[in-house]
Amino acid sequence: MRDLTKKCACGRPAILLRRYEGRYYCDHCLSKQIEKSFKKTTGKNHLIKKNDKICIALSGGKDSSSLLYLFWKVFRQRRDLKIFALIIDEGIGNYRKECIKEAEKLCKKLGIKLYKTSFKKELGITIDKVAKKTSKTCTYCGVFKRYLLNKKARELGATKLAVAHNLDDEAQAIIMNVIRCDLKRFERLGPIPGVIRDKKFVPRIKPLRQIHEKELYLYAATNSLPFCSKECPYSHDNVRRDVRKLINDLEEKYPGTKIQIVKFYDAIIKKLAIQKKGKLGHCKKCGEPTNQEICKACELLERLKNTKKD
Amino acid sequence: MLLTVKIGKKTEKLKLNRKEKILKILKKLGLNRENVVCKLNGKIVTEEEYVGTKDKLEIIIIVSGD
Repeated sequence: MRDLTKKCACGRPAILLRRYEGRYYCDHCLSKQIEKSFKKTTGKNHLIKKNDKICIALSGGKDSSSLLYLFWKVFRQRRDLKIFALIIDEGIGNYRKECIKEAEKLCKKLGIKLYKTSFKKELGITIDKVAKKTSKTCTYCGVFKRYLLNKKARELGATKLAVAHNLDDEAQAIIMNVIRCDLKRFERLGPIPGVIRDKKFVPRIKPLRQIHEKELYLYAATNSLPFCSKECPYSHDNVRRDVRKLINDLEEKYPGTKIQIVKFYDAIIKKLAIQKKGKLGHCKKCGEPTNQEICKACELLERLKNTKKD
Repeated sequence: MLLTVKIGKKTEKLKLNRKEKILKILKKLGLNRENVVCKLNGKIVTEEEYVGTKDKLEIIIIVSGD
C-alpha cells in the first residue's frame, strides 16, 4: 500500500485539512483539538457548576454520541458531577430503534445510565402518525422533543440538559432566524440558550457549538464510538436543509464562514445587550413552562386532534 | 480506465485518465467537501489525496443530526 502524501505536524497521516487554519490533522491531534474546544466552551461560559446533575440528550447519532463520550472523558474524575443520558423514541419506523441500539452500546461501554422514553408513552402519538396528518413533521417533532427532554430531565433531577448542537447547527439556526426575522428565537441561541430561571425549566447547554459537524463525525469514527448514521426519513425538504446547503457552499468557497457567523452572533448579542433573563409562566393544560397560556406542545397536540390531513 | 467509487450505498464508475485529486472527483460528482468524509483503501484521508484506478475510494455522506 502506498504512503499518503498529507501529514499532520506530528508526522502521522492526515485525516482532515482545516482550511481556515491551513493545517492538516491526524486522528490523534484532531481528538486533542476537539477535547480542548469542549473544555474551552464549558469553562469560558461556566456551563458546568459544582454538584451539577447533567442529563445528556442522546439520539444515537455522531454528535450526541461524541458529546456523551467527551463528558465521560473530561469529567469522569469529577466525583461531584452526575452524568446520565436520555433518549427519546419519536416513533419513526425502524430508524430510531436502530439508533437506540447504538446508544445502548455506547452507554454500556462507558458505564453511563441510559433512560428511555417515547412520544407514544408520554404524548400518545408517534411521528409516523403525525406524518399521516401533516407535512410539517419536523416542526412537530422538534417541539415535542424539546418538551419531553425538559420534562424528563427535570423528573430525573437534572440541573443541566446538554444538547449536541454543533457549529454547523448553530450557524444554521442563526441564519434561519434571520431569514424568518424571528428575534425571540434569535435571542435564545448561544452556549446557554434561554437562561430563564424557572423551577420547571432545566437550563440547556451546548458544549459543542464551536466544533464543526465534519470534525465530530471524524471524532466519533476515529474513537470507534458506536453511532447511527442513518438519515431520518422525514428530514427531506425542510428549510434547515436548504440553509445547510447554502452555508456549506459558502464554507467551501470561503473557509471559516461558519465560525464567523457564530462569532458575529456572539458579538452582536453582547452589543445589543439583549436581556435573556425573563419570567416563564406555566401551561394551563399540562403545567409545563411556557411564555404563552398554552404551551406549544399542547397547542400542536390539539391541532393534530382537529386535523384530518393537510 | 475506470475508478469504482462507493458513495453511501450506491456504487459508481468514473472515467480516469491519470491519478486525480479526490477533491476533483467530488466536484465531478457534485459533492461538497464539507458534507463528506473520504476513505481511500479503507483509511480516512483528506480530500487533497490522489487516487488511481487501482485504489478503492469510499465517500461517506455525513448525515446531519436530529
